[in-house]
Amino acid sequence: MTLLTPPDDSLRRVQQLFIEHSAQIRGFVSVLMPDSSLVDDVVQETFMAVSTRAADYDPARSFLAWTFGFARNKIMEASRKTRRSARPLADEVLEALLCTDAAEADLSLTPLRLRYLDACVGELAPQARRIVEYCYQRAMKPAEVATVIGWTPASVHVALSRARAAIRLCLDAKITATGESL
Amino acid sequence: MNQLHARELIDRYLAGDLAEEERGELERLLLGSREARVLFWQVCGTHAALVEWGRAHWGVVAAQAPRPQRTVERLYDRMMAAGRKLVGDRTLALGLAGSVAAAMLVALALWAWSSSTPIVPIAASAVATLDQPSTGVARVADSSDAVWEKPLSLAVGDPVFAGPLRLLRGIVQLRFASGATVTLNGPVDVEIVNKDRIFLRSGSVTPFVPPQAHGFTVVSPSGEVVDLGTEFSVGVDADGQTSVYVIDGEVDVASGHSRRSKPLRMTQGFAAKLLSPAQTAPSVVEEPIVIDHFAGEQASRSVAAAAAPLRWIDLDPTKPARIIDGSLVIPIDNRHSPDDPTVRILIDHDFSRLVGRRSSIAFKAILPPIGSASFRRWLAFVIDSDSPPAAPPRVPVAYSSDAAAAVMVSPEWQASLRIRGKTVNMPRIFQRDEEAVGPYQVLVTIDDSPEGHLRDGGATLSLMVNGGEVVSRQRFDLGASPRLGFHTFLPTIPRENVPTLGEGAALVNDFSVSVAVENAADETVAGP
Repeated sequence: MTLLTPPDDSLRRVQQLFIEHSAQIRGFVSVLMPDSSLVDDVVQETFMAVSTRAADYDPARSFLAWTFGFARNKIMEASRKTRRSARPLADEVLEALLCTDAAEADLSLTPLRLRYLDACVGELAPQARRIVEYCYQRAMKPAEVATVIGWTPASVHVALSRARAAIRLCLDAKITATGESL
Repeated sequence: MNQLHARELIDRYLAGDLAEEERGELERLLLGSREARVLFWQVCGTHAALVEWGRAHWGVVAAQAPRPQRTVERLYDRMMAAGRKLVGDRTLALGLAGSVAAAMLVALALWAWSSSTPIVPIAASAVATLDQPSTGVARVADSSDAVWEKPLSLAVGDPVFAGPLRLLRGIVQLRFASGATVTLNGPVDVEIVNKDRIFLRSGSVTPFVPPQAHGFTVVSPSGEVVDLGTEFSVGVDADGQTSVYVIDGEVDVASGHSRRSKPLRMTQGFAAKLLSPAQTAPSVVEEPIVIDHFAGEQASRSVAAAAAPLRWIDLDPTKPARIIDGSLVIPIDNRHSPDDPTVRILIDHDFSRLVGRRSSIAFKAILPPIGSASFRRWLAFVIDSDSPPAAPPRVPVAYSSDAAAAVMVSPEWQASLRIRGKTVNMPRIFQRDEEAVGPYQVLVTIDDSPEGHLRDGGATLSLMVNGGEVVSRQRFDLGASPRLGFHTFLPTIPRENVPTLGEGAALVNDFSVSVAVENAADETVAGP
């Protein structure tokens, strides 16, 4: 069942696609815009940009790939407002990352992953689960988590890295087992 | 590539813990190795999903944290408790809260002031409407991958009663008895109040409101949105910030929940963000005074009465501005002499209330289209410190040092700012080749309160255009009797080379002024 009616013009179509792909777009920006306070702004400005250029969108092309290009430009623009320690990677690195098909291929799985994240986080060891919850549910930095749980920051880094790897394996397994696709 | 080391660098990058030399190392690695780039997205793809997952759970965490309950919530809880008694077991259980719905976070402009002691003007009517449990106030019109918080389960065609609804994921369309259709974009946490009113606690909704249902209202923790047209979206994040985006038609947006505050009318393509009451300074009770729309009569050259509707003075009687449907139409024609390439009007109102307070001035400007003969004309919103000059100066005020500040908008450069004749260094929002076209929604925030003073005194001015902050807290001197005006003029003044311009006009509408005051009861609202 399709809830959203087919667009009757390019602007409406592009805006609907943006909404449908918002998790992936936000993920893309979250990864490449280390200053989390600017993520919403960049997503919003990307929305504006794709709206302005809606007529240029070719439905035969990947919407995500098309939109990521605008998002990258907005990230570059926003980087001027960013403090040095949280500035994005260099422009040419962003270009290289965008040209890697892996960006679209990986981020397109975000909606599927969200279905199983509760289960996969639940399968973590208690302390690893706690660290993941602190970092992602409460937006705490590893150094802050280390203070809270009495670990060293390096230990939290390692635990978080392992937890992410375990979660990814779990997600892949569940998605493969159910044979789901978007 | 040493995969372990690369992974460690990526992890540290995501944590924001990269040292400068490590950052360079990661950048070189990513540039030089496709394998490293693939690994980057593998790690970051999981991270991105976790970020979204964390945002979805933030509402639960926030709800569990001990905190003073806001007035609006207490009132609302009482109202809902009354409703539950009336509807009995049809009311749904509470549970998991929703999250920010990123899709609707398309807020482009800021509308700030919120009352820290909001009054919810909905309780009586809501409870009255809740006393209709048998028919419901809406039905599920469509549903796609919907997962409701247990024990709720609603299928297409099911009635929906007043009370809380929590959609964990998926998209559901509700058709209200009033005729309004509301799309819920999961995760969303919403309270159905009655057939034309909902309370959005978190997440996002997109109401589509046909003419017979006009007035359909979305209440959020930081304000309310009343539909006057057809379609808009509202999102509330975990901090209670409300984002509004108008897809089609018009809506009125009011910060806080006081009937005293006049709303900001927003039209298609514009957005606003309402800050939560918790984000205002706790020591100041802020209540907006809004002067909205150009509804007044044209004034004479004398100063208009302070309480009169918004007025303006044409400094050049040969080029009068006109009001058309509530918009101020400022003429741009080809009769300017090389010595006076400007058209000036002055909004003539007692804006001395700006002094010593925080205020925001919002307007929408539409300029002649690119390619027309007069598109190179600029529109300047000028903040003068003093009374209008007896005679128009020969040099455009916006370019002289007579103006305290001037915000300039043009089709070529979306906005720029001059303070005391000097251009403020600011980033452009659009490149020239992106064809930045109007309309432009401009929000000027002047903070003349002690909190706004920088170390060397004066007020600060911030500027947002179409939701992007282009100037942040620039110091300037706000006079004792600030005057506001609009000018149109050429961006450069090679007097021997003023081109012949065709007919055209700049159009300014949705003008509003909001002033934060300490005691709203002492202030009168001047308006149309």
